[in-house]
Amino acid sequence: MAKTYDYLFKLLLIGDSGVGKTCVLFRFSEDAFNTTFISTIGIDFKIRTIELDGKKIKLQIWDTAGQERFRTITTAYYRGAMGIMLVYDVTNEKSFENIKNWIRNIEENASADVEKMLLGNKCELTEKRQVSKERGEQLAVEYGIKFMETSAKSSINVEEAFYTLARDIKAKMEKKLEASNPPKGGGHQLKPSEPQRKPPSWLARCTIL
Amino acid sequence: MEDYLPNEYDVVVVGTGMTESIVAAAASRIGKKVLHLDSDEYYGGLWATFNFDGLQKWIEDLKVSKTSTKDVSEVDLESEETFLKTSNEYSTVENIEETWYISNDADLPVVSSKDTQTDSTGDGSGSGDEKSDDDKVEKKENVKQWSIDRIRKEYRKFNIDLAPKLLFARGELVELLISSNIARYAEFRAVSRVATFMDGKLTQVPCSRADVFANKTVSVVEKRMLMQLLTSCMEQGADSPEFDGFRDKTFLEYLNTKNLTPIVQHYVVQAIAMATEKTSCRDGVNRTKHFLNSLGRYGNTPFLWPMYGSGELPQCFCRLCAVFGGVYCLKRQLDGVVIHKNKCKAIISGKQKISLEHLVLGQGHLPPEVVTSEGEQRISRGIFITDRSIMQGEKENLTLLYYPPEQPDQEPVTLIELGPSTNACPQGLFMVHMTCKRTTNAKEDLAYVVNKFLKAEPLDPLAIRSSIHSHTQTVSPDKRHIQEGDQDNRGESTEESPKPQVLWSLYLNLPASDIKLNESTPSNLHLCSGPDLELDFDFAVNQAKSIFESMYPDKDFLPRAPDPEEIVLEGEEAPGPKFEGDTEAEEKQDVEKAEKED
Repeated sequence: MAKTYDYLFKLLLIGDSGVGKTCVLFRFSEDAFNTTFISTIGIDFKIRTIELDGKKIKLQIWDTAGQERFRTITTAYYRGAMGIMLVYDVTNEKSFENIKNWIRNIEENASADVEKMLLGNKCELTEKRQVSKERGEQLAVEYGIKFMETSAKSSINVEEAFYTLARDIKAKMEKKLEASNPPKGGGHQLKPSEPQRKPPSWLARCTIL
Repeated sequence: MEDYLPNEYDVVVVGTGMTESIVAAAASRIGKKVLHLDSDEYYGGLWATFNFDGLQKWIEDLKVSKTSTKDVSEVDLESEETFLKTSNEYSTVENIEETWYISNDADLPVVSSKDTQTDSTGDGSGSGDEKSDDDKVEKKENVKQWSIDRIRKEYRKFNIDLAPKLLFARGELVELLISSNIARYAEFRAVSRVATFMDGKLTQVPCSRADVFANKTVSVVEKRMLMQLLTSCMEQGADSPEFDGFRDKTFLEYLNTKNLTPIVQHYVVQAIAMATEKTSCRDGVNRTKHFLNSLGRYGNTPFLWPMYGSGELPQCFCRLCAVFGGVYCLKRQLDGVVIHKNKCKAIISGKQKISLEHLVLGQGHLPPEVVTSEGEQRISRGIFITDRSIMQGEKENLTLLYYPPEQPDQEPVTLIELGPSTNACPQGLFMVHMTCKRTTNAKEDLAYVVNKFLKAEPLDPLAIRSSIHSHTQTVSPDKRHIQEGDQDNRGESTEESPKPQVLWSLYLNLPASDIKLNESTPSNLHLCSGPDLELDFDFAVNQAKSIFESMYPDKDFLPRAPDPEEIVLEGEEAPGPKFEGDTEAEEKQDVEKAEKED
């Protein structure tokens, strides 16, 4: 199969139930908004290929499958993730407070150099807002990560957010590749352009498909 | 405060071990409403994989009993209902013995070296107490010495299995992962060599055809002999007339009639069939066949190892269950089961009574009233962090070794050695897992193998083994930095290298996996066993299949889950923008609608 993209990035969405993770995902991947999929049945991940600096980047964006509800996200969910969108709901104070817990969870389970970004979703609901933009910015500064307010419903900043995250991952990765040391035999190697369905080669890390 | 759960389900599964998780996924996949609970805060139960810190917590927690204290009188029962309290006695881990063979940083001598360490500070983990800069410099000078502190500090780089298992490349689990499309949640590494102990040393068993032909210890005649034997096992199977005279004999007795040379016989018995003197001819042939069948699919041995440990795999099935609507709640105690007219009607968990059609219980959650036999297949386990491979090679290997008993009262031991590329341990270390059937306790059962292959004595901090890092083995500390980047330059001779030094060890005994329920057990209560003695997951997969079949005889077992590209939302004509070059999506766009079967 011909190579259809230059990089494959695995991204995760994390945050409390009901903050609109799935809506953000659908806005970005399908440019659609639908309030009917309240709980996230059947949605595993979505794919969208974007172009940055002439490179085709396939974004594979994973949803929590509802396992965030009782804080039971599997450790396996975090494996190999290169970027994480931390999402809270600007109309829900609790979801904002919980971001700290989610970050702790990420630090425990995800790769140490995973790129993170904070999103305050539902920013179109000005009447119901409980968390100011400043507090969101403040928290992001505290953790040294980027921040945006988004609206999946009104299509505000969703596109920008994913492009920003993807750009940061790409920059980090290219820096790493430049600085290399020829790749070690280790399991943490990035595999920039490996088509997903390539039959696993000997001794290589393999996915059985 | 505990979470409030909806209280009506088709299937309630308690315990997140392998079998439980497969059943949960299968039920959810066909549209059943599933609740999946675990009293622990982690997934996997006795199948779990922990980082170093998590393992320490697990050991601590074993000292605290988790058994429910709830009384029948507290439970709100209707007429004709009875309450059976559940117990965790069938998942008891015994004889835990943890030992350090190295010292704390403070006890290490200062090595004068300009060596700087670049990688371990990079992950930002566990850097609780920042020391002054001077102190750090001091530390870095100790670089390649492993200390207790350093292992604790790098805790996230360890993935330690309670029940390590391999997958046969054409075994039940690999086929299931592929057919169900759950394979996309996991990554694997091929076991790179099967070793065997022969003529006083470890050698690599030639597995692939190419290996066999390249092998110099086996003569051409022997090669032919080997191929002939393997072909007959493979093509004819255990029911073939070839084996007619050996129905009640052992595999060894059969092989003895084939005039094999000792080397060939050794390979077949100890590496391919992994048989003992007692293994029946039928089992031996079947095992040989299984081994051969799985050759040539993913690597040069028939085995795969799950990256990040065996404990990942139950979680993959849990993920699928959740994707199809299964509700997950960990750290949630099952207090007991409500029986009505010989049916399980509900469970009691905290303040809630949750009703159900089927109850699937891991063996750590059974009411003692339904158990008739506690089983006999208990397991002895040993886990070792070492400083080098048992059999050094030019590159990092993932090794399987089957070691048959030396004395009649010993049990054969399976040894799996993992390197850093599996994420089992940081660079420079190896993780050795030993497993055998329990006869006395883990430490005694495994002692003969530990003594044979490892150096399990305290390391004198003053007698610096210049060899903590395999590739710096013979280099004086002053010169280490020259070699540091030179990872390829480590071709030592296999025979002469000393035994791996054990830095840390843990012994434990796991409970029996062959618990039996009595015949009066309600038919909608299904038992899932803990980890068994076999090398692979076939037992768990088959048990899950038969549970599912008894619950839903007419339904498909884990049919392929659609890829995200194949999902078209109801009421939406266009499947969203086409992504240039996304061939997978184009191929399958209209294949499947993501509708849930009922």
